[in-house]
Amino acid sequence: MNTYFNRRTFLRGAGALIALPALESIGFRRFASAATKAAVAIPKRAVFMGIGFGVTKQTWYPDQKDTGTKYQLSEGLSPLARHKQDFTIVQGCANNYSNEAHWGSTFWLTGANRYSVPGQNMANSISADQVVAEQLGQQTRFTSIQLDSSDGSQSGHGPGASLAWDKRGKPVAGYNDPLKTFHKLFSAEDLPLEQRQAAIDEKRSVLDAVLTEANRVQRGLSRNDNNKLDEYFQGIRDIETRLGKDEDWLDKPKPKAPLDEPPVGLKGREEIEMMHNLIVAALQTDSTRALTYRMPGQSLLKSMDMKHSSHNVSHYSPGERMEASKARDQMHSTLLAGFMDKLKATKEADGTSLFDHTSLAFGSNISNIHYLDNCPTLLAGGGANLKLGEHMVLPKDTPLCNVWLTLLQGMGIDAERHGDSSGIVKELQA
Amino acid sequence: MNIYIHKDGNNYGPYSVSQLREFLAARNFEGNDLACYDGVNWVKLSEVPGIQQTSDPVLEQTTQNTRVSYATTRSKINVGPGRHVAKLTPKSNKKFFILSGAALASICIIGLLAYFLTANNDEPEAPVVISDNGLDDNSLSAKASPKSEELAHRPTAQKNDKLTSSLFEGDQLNSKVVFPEKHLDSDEPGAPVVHSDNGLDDNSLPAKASPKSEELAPRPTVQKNDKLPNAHLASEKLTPRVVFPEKHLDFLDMYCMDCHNADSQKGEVNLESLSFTIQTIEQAENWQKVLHVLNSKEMPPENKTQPDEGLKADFLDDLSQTMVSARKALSDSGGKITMRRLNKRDYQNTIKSLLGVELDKGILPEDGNSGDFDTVGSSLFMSSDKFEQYLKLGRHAIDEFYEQRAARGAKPFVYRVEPEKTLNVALRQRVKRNDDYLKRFEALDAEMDKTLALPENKGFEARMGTKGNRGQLYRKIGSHLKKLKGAPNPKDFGFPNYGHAAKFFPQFASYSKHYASLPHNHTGTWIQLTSGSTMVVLNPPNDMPVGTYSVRIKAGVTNKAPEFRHFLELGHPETVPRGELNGFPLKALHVTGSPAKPQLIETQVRVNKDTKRQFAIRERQPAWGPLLKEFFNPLMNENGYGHAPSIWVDWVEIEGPLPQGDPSPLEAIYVANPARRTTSELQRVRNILHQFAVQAFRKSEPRPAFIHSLVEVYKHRLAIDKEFDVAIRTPLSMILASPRFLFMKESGQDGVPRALDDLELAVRLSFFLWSSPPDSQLLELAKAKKLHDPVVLRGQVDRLIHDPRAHHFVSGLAHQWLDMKRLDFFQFDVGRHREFDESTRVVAREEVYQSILHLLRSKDHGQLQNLLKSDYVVVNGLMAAHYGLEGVVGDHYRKVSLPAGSPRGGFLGMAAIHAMGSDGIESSPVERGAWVLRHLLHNPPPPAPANVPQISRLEGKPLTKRQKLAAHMEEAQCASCHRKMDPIGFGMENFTASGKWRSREILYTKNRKGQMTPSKTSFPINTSGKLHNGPAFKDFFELRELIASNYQDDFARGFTEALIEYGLGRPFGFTDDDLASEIIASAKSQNYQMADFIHGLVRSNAFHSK
Repeated sequence: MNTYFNRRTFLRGAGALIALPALESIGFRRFASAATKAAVAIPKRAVFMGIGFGVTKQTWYPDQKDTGTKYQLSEGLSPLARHKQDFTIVQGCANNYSNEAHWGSTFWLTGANRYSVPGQNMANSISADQVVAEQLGQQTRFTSIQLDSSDGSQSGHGPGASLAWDKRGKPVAGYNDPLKTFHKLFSAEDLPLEQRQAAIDEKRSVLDAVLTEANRVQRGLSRNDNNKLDEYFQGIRDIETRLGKDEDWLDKPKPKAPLDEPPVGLKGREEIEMMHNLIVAALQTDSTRALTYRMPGQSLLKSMDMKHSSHNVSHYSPGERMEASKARDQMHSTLLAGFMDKLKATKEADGTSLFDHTSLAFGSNISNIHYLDNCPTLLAGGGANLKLGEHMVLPKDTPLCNVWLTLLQGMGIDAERHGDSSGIVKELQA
Repeated sequence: MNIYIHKDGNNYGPYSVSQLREFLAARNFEGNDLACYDGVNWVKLSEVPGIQQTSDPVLEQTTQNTRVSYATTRSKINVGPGRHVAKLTPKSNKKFFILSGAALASICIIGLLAYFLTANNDEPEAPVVISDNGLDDNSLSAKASPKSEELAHRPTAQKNDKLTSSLFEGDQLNSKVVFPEKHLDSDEPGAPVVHSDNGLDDNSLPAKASPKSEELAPRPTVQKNDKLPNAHLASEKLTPRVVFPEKHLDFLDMYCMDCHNADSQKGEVNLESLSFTIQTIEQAENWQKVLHVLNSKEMPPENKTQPDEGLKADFLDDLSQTMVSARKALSDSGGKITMRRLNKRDYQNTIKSLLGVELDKGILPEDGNSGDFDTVGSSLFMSSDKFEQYLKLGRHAIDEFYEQRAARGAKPFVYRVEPEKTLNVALRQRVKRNDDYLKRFEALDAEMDKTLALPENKGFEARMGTKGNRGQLYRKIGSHLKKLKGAPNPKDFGFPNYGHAAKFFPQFASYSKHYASLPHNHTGTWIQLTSGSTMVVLNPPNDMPVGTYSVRIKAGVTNKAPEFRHFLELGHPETVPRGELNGFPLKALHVTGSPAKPQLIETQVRVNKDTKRQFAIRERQPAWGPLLKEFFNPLMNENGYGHAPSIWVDWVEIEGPLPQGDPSPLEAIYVANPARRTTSELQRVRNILHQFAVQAFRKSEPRPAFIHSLVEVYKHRLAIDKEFDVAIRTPLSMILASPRFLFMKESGQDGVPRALDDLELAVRLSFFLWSSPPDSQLLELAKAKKLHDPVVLRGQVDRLIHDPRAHHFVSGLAHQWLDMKRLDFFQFDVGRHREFDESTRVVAREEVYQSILHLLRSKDHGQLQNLLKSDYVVVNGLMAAHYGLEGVVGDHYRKVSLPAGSPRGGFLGMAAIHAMGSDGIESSPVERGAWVLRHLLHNPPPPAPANVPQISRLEGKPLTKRQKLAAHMEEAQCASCHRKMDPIGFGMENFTASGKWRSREILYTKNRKGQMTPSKTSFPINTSGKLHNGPAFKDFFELRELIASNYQDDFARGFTEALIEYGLGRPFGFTDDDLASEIIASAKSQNYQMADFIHGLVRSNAFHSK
């Protein structure tokens, strides 16, 4: 059985101090949280946006020799010019275990090795957003929110149900429709409190009932099959945890929607814009603090009147497809700039903006074509105390998870490593 | 030993060594954390004695610990702890030397020599070679290792005898001689010595690794040790070993070792420590990195000696193949079948057989795609999300069931549309309106002519830049109107302004007018393609009950229209933003009558709870695409009105709901448990739930406590819902989310295979061949314990494959075996592939399935090799039209003989295969070649590597695809795979992306707007070529012949492996090699009758045991 060992529990439970030789020169690293926790009143949030197939190498990345704060924006990033002081481009990072040239999202936030489990063809591990969710999600109605599109497998994301993977490395489902997302977030419950409590109780009895069955099934199973069934048990337990939380939120009405109900059937560009609005609304109302968005690729191109498929465009070469690839990059940047405008325009109680408290990451595991090195990485927002307004080039093949770890720690998350991280990126810390 | 750890400012512990190993593995601690084990010093945790052997695989990947095979020699002698020390007991050493016989050509350190001399004095002839440099073993010591010349002498399995003597000849004694690693591996007694690095040696290898024919590139060696009695390994997982051909040592030595040896370890990479035997994930990772840096051209660095491209290509070829084998070996299930969850297909069919309800595919949860088949239990995961989906879906299915019950007594109705009463009326109105508009427009134009002709207005048009284009002029003229002297006032002509006149110009006026003037308009309608009467819409009453309905169409077609325009599509007229139609096509229908003698077409549609109650027919066409732009305008220039008429529709009607079939099991349970005064309501509920659970659990008894809880839920619901029929839905749907429904439970014990009982066998068999639960006949046979009888079983297999449900098996298997998801990847370019619309996609896919079904059910003509080449196709009217075959009428599939010399017949001639080998725009020789290697020749190229530099310098040049792709041969990292794929793909270049035959390749060039349009230039297509290391062919026909006659066995093997994975529900692994061989041998004796493969698998022990 894949027993999940909770490292924090373990560390807490470890033995008391015993007389041991003195330590001479060991660097102490304190968690960022320890220093900042007291001062934080406005919550920190994290948003990750994955684009699946990568970018156009020639025109998306700024010149590697031109680093620092005074760097020249690239053509692909030019629509973001007005925000130049507020985001950082990091080059040189890669998920070094990734070998799948068409999987832009599966391991993007996890850094996992798909072959890490013997006897299994595919394994994954927890994604950065879920690490945030584990620690910050208890305080919000939604532990985390995953947004997705109906593009399916055509946009280079690879396997997964969203960008998020839970602590057991199982895919976490997302909402793929703006309208549904809206209702989930803001539509008031029309049932009275007692009935909703009753509904929760009923769900519990449903779980109890199937658990009795599951216990019976367990008998006589081989170890392998027991592990399989364990997924079922774990699933039930997760729902139980969720129900407990639902109960806590039962008497708290959903926030009033800060936007109108989205129209039906949005696709591509309009769909992304609407999802951006919903992300802002979700953060603004503190409905969640961990959010991912697996963005559409195929339908974005279609909405731009491009006839090439996103796979074709990703395999650009000089000519039509490369132009399409460039145009798509520009579109991404335009949309992202609009999203940043919205975050900046939304004010917190103390007059600071939502942008100041949100950590935003944009990119993919795929750089371009079949390349998995130098993952396109754009970081923005003040939520993780990162240095912004910079273009930095890290040593080649720096684990992308080092960036995620830096981001996590910057948000005050108690994490010592993530995926295949080998440390933090010091120069990224503000 | 008590060990304390210091990490991040805290102390932890004490722990034992074994605890710490677990913590390391779980990454709670790292090798770099500080540890104190002697109470005196802080050292790195990785330096604590005993910790090392299972140290963190990720952190320590390039350190000495990964040396398992080559490097063990040192650890055997030195103090280094590890299990290999334990293995190399004197006894095993002795045996191992005896086994290896005189074949030893080894390098050992002096200590080892001494050891051997004492331990093996009964084997005085055992050759032992002393190296004078004190370096150990045969790991890749750059400095000491001999250069290529000497290496060429290195022993291989068959040359051993010769080499043994040569070793003692002269100066070689002083040089380092490499001890073939296989000998080191052979410390298990009786291990077969297997090593085929050149495809020539080795006769002891199991079928898998034996080279099939000369043209096959050398493959990595795989050693199976699952059958070897071995005390050491018995408790561990028996992982087959994959060996990277040793000859490649030269390459590493020449180009890598100067920097990456044990001493310099540049970039912390020490290749000396790399074992050529890959047995662990970390070894695989290290080799993956080597592959990666070579592929990406990172290594060797530019300023160092570069390897010869051919040499590098061979190296990369072997290494990537080795990686594929290693991954496969490392994920080998070891013959275990993991409990399977119902996949999407199983679930849908199971619901249908329980409730009589057909759920829409779109609402079923996806199974995820890890690369394994969707029958493989270990890849079918479960999570809280999935559980909730199942709960919801179960409820949805029960609700459907209730709708269907309610519709049982519904009175059928007929709803008919006579389009001449609707569409033609609108058409005539349009024509009138257009005429009026045009009249006014022309009058305005005439005035404008006069105005522009005035001398004071001279040059106005030129200044506006709209020479000759009146529409453009009117659009632009607004603010410039004052500059035009005596301009006519548009209001005088009924236009509010000039812009309006231009904007609403009826560009389809002549198109409408032409259609309004056609014969037969008083009794029916000519369907238009681009604008106007494009659809005949059926709007039956919104409350039409669920069920199956008949749709009938009376229609005809004119012979003048090309064959592909003889098809209607039935669908839902759902308009989504951007004008696309989402609800097409449900079906394509062949129209064969004429307007004078129309034909009646009949088909059926299914209406579910959520099905849109609106239908329509239209002429088949691409779902999305600028039909207008690319076709309408040129046609209009040609004939003056646009698309020529093709299909004429007299009327369309829908009738139903049709009578329902036999009651579903749940319905039967309801009938058997009517509400009675004599039984209490709760007893009735209990009975219904119990009986349904037994059905849903495939005849196994639910736990009483479970039924009790269900009844409790019912009681709770009843208080809220008030009615039995509503309240019972919740507990019913819970049954559909419980584990015994979702999982196919087969109890089992670890390590002890158990024979399945008859019921389990029935379940396995029916999900294998039907993706559905067993029917009553199977269940009865199981109950009577007769199913195990080989004769009975064979009879049942025959019955099952002749049942319509076998289509689920064929489609499920073929879709995955042949990677057919690629068929859905691309939207076809309408301009280039007008005929490849959604309907073509559907029938092209179906052709593949039907061709397989045909073989499966043929009594004597079901030879598998018909899929490589045949003198017939299995097609329907639409597919035949696509192939240009005449006389195939209607929408059902049937065997059609081909004329001699036809390129069709077999996979290589099928449009589905060509389309998958394209990007929807152009053919892709690379994809096609790779597909053929993968699925026909059973010699799959490794997956597309990451980071290979893309060559695009020839893109956009006026060259043939072949010329452009020639660049693949320039760089080793491309050539290593492309030299195998590309020639095959070129051989198939006669087929366009949509599978049409062509003999010339048209060059597309950019037009002024930057769009690619066909130019006048075209090139003759050259399909000649040569298989890599194999025979030459002069054209497609010879290529097909070559494959059909030389590769039957390989093809059969590929098919068998897919069949095993699909049927047993575990990834095909090395453990299944023997089973595959058995099945093939049996089938071969029947000349590869397809059904015999199925019988072979069903007969096998593996199929009967858990």
